[in-house]
Amino acid sequence: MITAQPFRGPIVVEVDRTHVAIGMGMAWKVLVEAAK
Amino acid sequence: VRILLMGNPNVGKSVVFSRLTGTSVVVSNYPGTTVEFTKGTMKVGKKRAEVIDVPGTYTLEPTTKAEEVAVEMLKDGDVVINIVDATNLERNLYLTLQLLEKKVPVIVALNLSDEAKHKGITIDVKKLEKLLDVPVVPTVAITGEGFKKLISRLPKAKAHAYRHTDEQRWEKMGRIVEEIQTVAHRHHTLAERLGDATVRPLTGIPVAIGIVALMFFVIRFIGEGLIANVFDPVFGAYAPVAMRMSEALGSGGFIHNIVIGNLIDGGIDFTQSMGLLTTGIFVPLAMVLPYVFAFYLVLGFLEDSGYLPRLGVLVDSGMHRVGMHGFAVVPMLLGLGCNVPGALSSRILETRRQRFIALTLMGIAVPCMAQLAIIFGLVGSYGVGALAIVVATLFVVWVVIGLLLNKILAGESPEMFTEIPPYRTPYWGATLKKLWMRTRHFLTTAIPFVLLGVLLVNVLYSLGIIDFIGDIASPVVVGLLGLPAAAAGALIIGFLRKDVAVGMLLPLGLSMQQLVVASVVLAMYFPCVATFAIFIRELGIKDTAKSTLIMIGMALLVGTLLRFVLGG
Repeated sequence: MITAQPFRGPIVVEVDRTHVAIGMGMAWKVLVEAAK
Repeated sequence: VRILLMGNPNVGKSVVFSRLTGTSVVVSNYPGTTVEFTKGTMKVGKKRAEVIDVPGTYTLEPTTKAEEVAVEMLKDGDVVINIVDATNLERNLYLTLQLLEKKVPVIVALNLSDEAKHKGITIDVKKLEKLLDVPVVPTVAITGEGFKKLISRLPKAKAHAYRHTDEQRWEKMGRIVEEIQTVAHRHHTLAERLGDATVRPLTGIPVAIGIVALMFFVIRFIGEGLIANVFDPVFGAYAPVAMRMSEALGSGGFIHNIVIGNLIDGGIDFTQSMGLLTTGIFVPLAMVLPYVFAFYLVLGFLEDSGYLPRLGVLVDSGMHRVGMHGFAVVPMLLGLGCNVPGALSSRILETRRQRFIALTLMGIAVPCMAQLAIIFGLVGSYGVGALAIVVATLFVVWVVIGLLLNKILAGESPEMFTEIPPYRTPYWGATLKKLWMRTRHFLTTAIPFVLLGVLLVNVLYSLGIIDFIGDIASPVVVGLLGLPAAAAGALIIGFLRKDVAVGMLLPLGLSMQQLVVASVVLAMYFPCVATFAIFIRELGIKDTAKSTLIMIGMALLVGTLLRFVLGG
């Protein structure tokens, strides 16, 4: 679940009740991997 | 016996460390690295044991310098207290399982177990203990709950030499968590809502501005309060003693000049006399220490409450434009206290490029609290406007050089990937211990250098060397910067201590414009010797030379521009 993305910067996601900030480029990579 | 505290970052390791150890805590660098760790002692039965707060790590396959150190330290540990975040058991168990492969006795402290309850998480501790086959003790580090039991069960720590592949480890973690953990549905808490609000721009930016404003208000309030109520009275009582020493030394001559300094209007002026036992102790203790103390108190609170990672996320986009990522706010903020720990903490930035940018920007445009305190004292007497010019100039220089370095330097800056811990009430024991360690570091490094600086000023003046250098440097100092030739002395001493250097400007009778130019140039032209040593260690000689050239060039350019803009 995405909880915030300040100024097109890192997206903040909630994973197992923990917030994790992920840079956009890295987030895209994760999405591509997940789509595979 | 050597006990290692190991766990993921942000699981309350330092609070556990603070609980277990007394006041005799030492911060050391791991040999050959700039990674710091804290060491203390505790009693186990009748024996004294050494306790080491190992840098936080997610796995034993290191990805950062700090994690490398954590793995190295494991080789010398006799017992590991594995601190596990009960609110994030599954992720934390990865390290636990890896530790159980290393043939070292392990005991698990299931920390933050109160927070887990609040989050609706129930953990069957007995079953967990059985599945891991090591003692597991629920703890709440902030209140001290479970610590007696943890210490009493320490001798029961058990070593294993399990063998897992990566996949088996994940599988086992999943199985364990399924068997022992239940999670009840519940609504978001106030702290969680607050946590969300502080990373959203619309609410986060006003909060960040409010916090920075509050931070400076509190620092000023505490700093000025300490000066007015503690240090001014103490030095007021000390003045007659110093005067008697002055009389005993004959009220003049070489030794008098070094020990007491110059008498101003027949009396001692602690800010201007420049003697070892007058200005030499007054500057670090009565002018700088109160602000440094207040700054570290506020910073410690921000660190331990969990605000800094959120600030990092919020400013990440902006920081990328100057070649770093959001976490660079940590070295920059620490640098505002003292550039030495600031420069050391730049290791949280992953690449050399980022570290070069961070250190250069810190050296150029992040004055330490010691320097700021004196600048506030000197320039502040001309009003807030003059101070604003100094601060705004440094900020603009920080941004412009950052943008330029980001364009010029080859390579990329990696992105941020970090866990944001929930807001937590700081445990005052741990925050105060950190405050004490930082203040002690300031006292032990600042006072010798201030005394050396004051001594050097006197010796160089009496040998006529400062006048000589003033003559040589006059085309730059007088011609470009519009300052009196004697200000060159301050530039030399600034290499030792910036606060003493800014203080040296006081007797020169500078105009407001000159004072602003001199303060900005002194802040920018070179780091102090202690910071310079860290630069060499972190960047190597070649990159330090590059960084230094940028600083000197920019200081002269900005100083000259400022002089003509202000019309001084």
